[in-house]
Amino acid sequence: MSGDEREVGQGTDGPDLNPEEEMAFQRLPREAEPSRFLEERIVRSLRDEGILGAAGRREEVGAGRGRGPTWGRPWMLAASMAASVVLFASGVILGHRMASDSTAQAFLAVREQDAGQLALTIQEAGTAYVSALVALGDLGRGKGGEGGGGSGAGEASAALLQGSEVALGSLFAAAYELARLNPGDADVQRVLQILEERRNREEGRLPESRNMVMVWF
Amino acid sequence: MGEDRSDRELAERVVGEGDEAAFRALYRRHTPAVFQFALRLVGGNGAEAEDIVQETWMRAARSLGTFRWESAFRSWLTGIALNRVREMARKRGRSLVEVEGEWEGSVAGFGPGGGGRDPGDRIDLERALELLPPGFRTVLVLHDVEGFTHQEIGQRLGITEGTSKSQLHGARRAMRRLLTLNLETA
Repeated sequence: MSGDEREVGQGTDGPDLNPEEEMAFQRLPREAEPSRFLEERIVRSLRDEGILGAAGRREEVGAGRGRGPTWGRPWMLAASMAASVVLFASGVILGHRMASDSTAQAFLAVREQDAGQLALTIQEAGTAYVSALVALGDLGRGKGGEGGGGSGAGEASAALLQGSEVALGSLFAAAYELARLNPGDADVQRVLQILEERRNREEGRLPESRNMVMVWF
Repeated sequence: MGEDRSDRELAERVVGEGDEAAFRALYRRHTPAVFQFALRLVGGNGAEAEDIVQETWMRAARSLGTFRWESAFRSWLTGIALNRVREMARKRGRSLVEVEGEWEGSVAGFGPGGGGRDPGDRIDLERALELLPPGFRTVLVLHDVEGFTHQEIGQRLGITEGTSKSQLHGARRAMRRLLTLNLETA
């Protein structure tokens, strides 16, 4: 590209641009922002085609734009996977309760799955859990980043806060279940301890005994 | 990541490792310019411009490994976007070469004192570009906004340099007419 053929013209009826017209063209903006969803749409398509892989995704999530915790760390990955179990079980249980009004039957439905099925559901639910958090973060940043500060930004902040609380609660419950599953795993125990301390801090009470029972319904 | 890495380094990470962060860095660096370019070429249709940008990145990502870095990465992207615009025009049976006399008839609605808007209401350059027929708009954007030479325009649009020059002449006349006349319809 070059501007070597561009000349200041003779007048408004001539073939060339006059100085005013040249200035008007130079003042035109050179950049514009598409919708914030376009990036995710393209990245998802490239993932589907196998052009983009998981390694960079972890790096992106953990770095640069403050997308949240560093999911690349093993303990956070374990915690997110554990959260998946709880989320999935909760969904199945709720669904069954709505259909049969029998919590016991719902628990049985989950328990009847074999190890392979459970691993798959853990993976699927984990992906959904993390993806939902990423989307929530994008939503919050998008609304807040447009400089409005109006009701849209306020709603986004409220949604972000609510979503974060729900996510943290699920993470805590999952960490608890994972710690029960792997009592000898010091890293998991440490995760649980950190989450317990945070929860207790937020609830204004001292840490309690680890021997509590999680009741979901 | 990405602010301090060159386009080539980022592209190599995308090709070699499927690095999503590297791709996002490339995307954020170049998309605003490519989107603006596409937006002008399609006359301000945002959804269409986004489709073009998406297709541009998909094609670019698929062939990143074969890009030889003999030209600027952004020029390559805008070239892909321009190809996409041409394909879309072809699918719709539209030519990107305008016949000036035909267009003159289509602007009969734009006239001095035309009704529908304030008589003193002039349109700006961006709006005039949107209202130009696609062939005129394409050449005008490529030459007067993006700074392409007639030779480059000819190569990219598959027309002769002479055709590019005559299209630009017609496009500028049409643009001036739009800029100096009142707009009858919004």
